[in-house]
Amino acid sequence: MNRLGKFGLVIIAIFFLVALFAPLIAPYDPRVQTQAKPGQSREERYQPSREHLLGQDDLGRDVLSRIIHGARVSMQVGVLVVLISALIGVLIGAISGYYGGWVDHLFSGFLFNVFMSFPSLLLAIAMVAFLGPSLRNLILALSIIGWVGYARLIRGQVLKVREYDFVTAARAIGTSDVRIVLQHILPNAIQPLIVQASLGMAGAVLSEASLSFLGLGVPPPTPSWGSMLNDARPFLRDAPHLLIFPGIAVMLTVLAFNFVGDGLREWLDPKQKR
Amino acid sequence: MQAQALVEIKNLTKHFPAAHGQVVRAVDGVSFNIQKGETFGLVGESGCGKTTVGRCLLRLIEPTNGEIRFDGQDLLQLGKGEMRALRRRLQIVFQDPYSSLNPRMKVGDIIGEPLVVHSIGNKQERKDRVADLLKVVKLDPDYANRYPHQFSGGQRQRIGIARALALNPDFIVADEPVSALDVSVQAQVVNLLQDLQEQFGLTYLFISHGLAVVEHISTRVGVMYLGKLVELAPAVELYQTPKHPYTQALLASIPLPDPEQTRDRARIALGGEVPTPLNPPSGCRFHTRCPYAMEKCKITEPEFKEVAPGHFAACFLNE
Repeated sequence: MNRLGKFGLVIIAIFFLVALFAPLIAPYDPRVQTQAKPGQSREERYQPSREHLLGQDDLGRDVLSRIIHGARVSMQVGVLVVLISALIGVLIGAISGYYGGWVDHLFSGFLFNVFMSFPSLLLAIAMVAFLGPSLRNLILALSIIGWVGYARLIRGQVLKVREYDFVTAARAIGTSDVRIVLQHILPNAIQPLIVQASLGMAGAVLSEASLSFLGLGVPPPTPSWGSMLNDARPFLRDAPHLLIFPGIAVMLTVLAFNFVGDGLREWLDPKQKR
Repeated sequence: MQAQALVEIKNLTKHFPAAHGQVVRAVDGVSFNIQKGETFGLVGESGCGKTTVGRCLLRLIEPTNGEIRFDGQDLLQLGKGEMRALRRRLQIVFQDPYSSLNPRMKVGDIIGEPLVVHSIGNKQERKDRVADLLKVVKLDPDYANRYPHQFSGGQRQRIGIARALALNPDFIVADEPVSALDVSVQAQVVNLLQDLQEQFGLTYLFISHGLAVVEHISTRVGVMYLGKLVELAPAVELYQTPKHPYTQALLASIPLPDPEQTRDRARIALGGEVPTPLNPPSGCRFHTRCPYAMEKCKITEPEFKEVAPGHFAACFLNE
């Protein structure tokens, strides 16, 4: 893989470890609000200090600890949304591509287009607003808007792979459709999905931040990068770093996933190998 | 002799739907029988429908019309389960040794898959059978643990043959099994197929685009042009006394190692391209390229009839 891809992998690995061991790493409980110390003004409390490396927010919570714990939400959303939507996408895409005919017309001719015609974030907002904000509903909503991309990709791949002679050979042997798809078609069709999935994780992290920013993500007091941005918005003038630090966390994560995606694309494509 | 035919094909027709409501007449009323133990060579240019005939025989493509009998059973009437059971007796070897093997499966799993699918034997028995099959096609049994990309075209073709043999079939459609191979390797694979035929009493439908390869292996040969059979005869007879101008042209196109020899042969060089099967020519389909075409060839279609014992041709010249 190229250098940027490796760099991305390292960043993601670090974020994963941080998310996994957040309670051990974080210096404070991210939910605990504290009073200002005697003689300490609001403005002073925002500022980074020795005790609070990235400062405290309006409610006196440690920003560093909140960012560290926020990684948990982002990583969970990234991984779960991609897993669920890829699973749905592969299933529907494979059925649509393998059987063709009216099944394909129904799925790719109708269903895919209906889903793609919605502005995806708007649909997610509507769903979360309807179901009520929670981590589970957020993941559900993002998965429901996310699967179409995977389904289209897999359908196209299946259409290509099913014409290979080894698939015909399997049919000549009397292999069942399920086995043909699982044993012969999917293993040869899934490769581009890996790239799509790593880019999809970036998208999911970003969508989670957007929804949380709008107050439709993970409900407080659970820390999430998007809700931190939202909470810090009124103090943009006095304490811009309250926005900047979680912003950097989102940016780094999304960038890292994109680097990995591009790196994988290049790495898996023999034509691009130098 | 006719009663014992292993495969009987009657009026086989396959039309593929094409754009704008047109149909591609890939196979248009083909009838022939294949006797048990023989090798039936099916020859024709690209696009003449020979591969479609082979695939229809195994019901990998559903024919539009016609009748296919295998060992007396009407294949097209069989239900899904019955057809699946019968697949053990009908197998296929493909032209392209690269796309015919799943690149993500080990050779042993590829050859053993028919056994798994039909639940034959346990793990160890299947492993032994795969090793035997590799030996039968003259490959090292240790190759079972390798992946297809580690092999040459000829070796891959042997792996494909081993897979086809796994279920002890009676009948194998060999769809241009050597066309993609080097000339030096072609002979090896053809010889292997012949050895296997003797050893296991196989019947072949051997599809090829040239008459040269088919000559060695075939008992009888059928020549197809644009979805129709134009000539059918015992191999020796077809090569010595071809009755259809198209067969004569195909024979003339075989390169000979000795340039002196070519002069003894009738020289027919065909001009032009094969007409589109979307809209085949009227009358005799070959009249657009036939050097002997007469007025009536454009209007009436010549009957496919016996011109000598066991020798059929569809041409007015033989009347």
